[in-house]
Amino acid sequence: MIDLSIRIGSLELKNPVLTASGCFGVGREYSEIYDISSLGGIVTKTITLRPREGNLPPRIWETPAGMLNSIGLANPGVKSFIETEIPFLRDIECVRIVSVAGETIGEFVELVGEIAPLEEVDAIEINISCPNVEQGGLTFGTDPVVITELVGKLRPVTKKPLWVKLTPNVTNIVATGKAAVDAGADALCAINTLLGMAIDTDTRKPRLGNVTGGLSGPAILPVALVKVYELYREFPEIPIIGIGGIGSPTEAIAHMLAGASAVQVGSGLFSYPRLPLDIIESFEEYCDEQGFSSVREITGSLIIPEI
Amino acid sequence: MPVDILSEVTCVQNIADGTFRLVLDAPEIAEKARPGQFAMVGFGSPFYDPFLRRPLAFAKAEWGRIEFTLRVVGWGTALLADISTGDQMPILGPLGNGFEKPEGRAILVAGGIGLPPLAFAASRWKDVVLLYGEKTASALCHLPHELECEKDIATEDGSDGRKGLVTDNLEEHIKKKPGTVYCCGPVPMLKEAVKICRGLNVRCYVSLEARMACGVGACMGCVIPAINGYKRVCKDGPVFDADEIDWEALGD
Repeated sequence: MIDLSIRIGSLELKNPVLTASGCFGVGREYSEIYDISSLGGIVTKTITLRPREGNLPPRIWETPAGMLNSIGLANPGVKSFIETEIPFLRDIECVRIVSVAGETIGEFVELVGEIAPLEEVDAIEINISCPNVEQGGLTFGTDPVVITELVGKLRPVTKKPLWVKLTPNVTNIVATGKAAVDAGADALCAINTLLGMAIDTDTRKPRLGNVTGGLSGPAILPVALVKVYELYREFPEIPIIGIGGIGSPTEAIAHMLAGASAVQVGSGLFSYPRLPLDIIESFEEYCDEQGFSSVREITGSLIIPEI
Repeated sequence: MPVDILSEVTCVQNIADGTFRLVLDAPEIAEKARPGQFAMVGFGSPFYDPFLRRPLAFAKAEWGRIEFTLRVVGWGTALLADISTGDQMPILGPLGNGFEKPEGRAILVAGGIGLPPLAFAASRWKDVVLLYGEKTASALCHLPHELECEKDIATEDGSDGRKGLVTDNLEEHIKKKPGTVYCCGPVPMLKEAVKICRGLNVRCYVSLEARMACGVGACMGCVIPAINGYKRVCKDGPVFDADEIDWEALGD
């Protein structure tokens, strides 16, 4: 019997597979299809202080082995979220992480303050990497100075673990990762989507209503892997949650080999809603083959041949 | 409750220009599927390219089988039309709200590939008239021929049925025997039908389509402009009361 449990800082997860923010709501819809309590954890849709209508449609466009989205953090706002969605999370028997985004540092502080007292929430994911909002997304996530200030201001607001979700749209993810770690982040989540666009050559118009969007799907796996690898090499003691391009169990394992302690499945859910369950199941065979007794042994066990 | 299953293709048949009938063995879905609902149809393993499943409305659901009618509009639908009998396809469904069954007369207005969900409705409901329009005879689907209801079939070039648009006779049909109007088809057709229904003060439902990612209401990707903000086509729809939609913002 392989031990599937992992730890992310003070949190224990029964397995290393979570669903990524924005792809799973709070799990309500997918809970009609399977038992979401068998997941390691769920990360909610990103919540903002005030309700957001989201961006002009069309909001999605399929690309080679992936998709662009420009949802624009559509959500009912934190007050409504606490009233209508938090009760749903109460009976979910896995780790529950709420993703939050603010347009200013003050908004982030207020948001985390609202979420902090909720016992239905096990950790908070700080989304500073959404490419589809004008303020608080990439403008925060690409600047190490801002990240240090933000995480530093959030750290005293809550005892709950703070996970910081990083953008790949930077030259050096180690610099933004370091800024988060130095200010007290408990874990790094990498990566959010890559900024991209698609064009209809007949109409000469962009495919997305918001012109640009975030690229996800198997197409971005190699980018995600190298970012996780770079972060793990720099911060071997900080838990990394690998996100990006996971469309089958093999890719989840690749993330862990590169250094991820856990993975989040995002748009891969759309082509295969049961993918997280398949990944969980696959660890048994993989660990047997590799002679591991625990999934924790996969993390960072990448073999780099000496030259 | 939707189910996500692998189902076997039992029939693929070319039934009109670029139009295919796809029948699958899916008892768990067939027993639950209602007219106006849809399924997210995937491509099998590996699920990388095309990456997203395609939303297809049920054209039929009986005897443990579900049927779709699909028109090839891009490479995704071309790949779906190219599958073979015996192939396994991932299907998630039934999804969406479906049509609310009318109290009395139902007047169905189908434009082009908007036909399948309305043909499904016509097969389940009594006291129905089906108005169905295509550009030309070679595009007309066989589905209405299997239905016993009253029919009014039109082609734009007059190569079969009445010459003109599907909506040309709508006012006449409503006046002859009033009822509830249900529409599915291109947006300009929907707008014309809604205008006629408003003029006669008749209740009108429309089934809309949008590019979808999750299909279940989680990702907020398939929204359309409604009077009270954006609505998800997959979960709040695909069937909407015509008065809920912000038709000006919807575009064509």
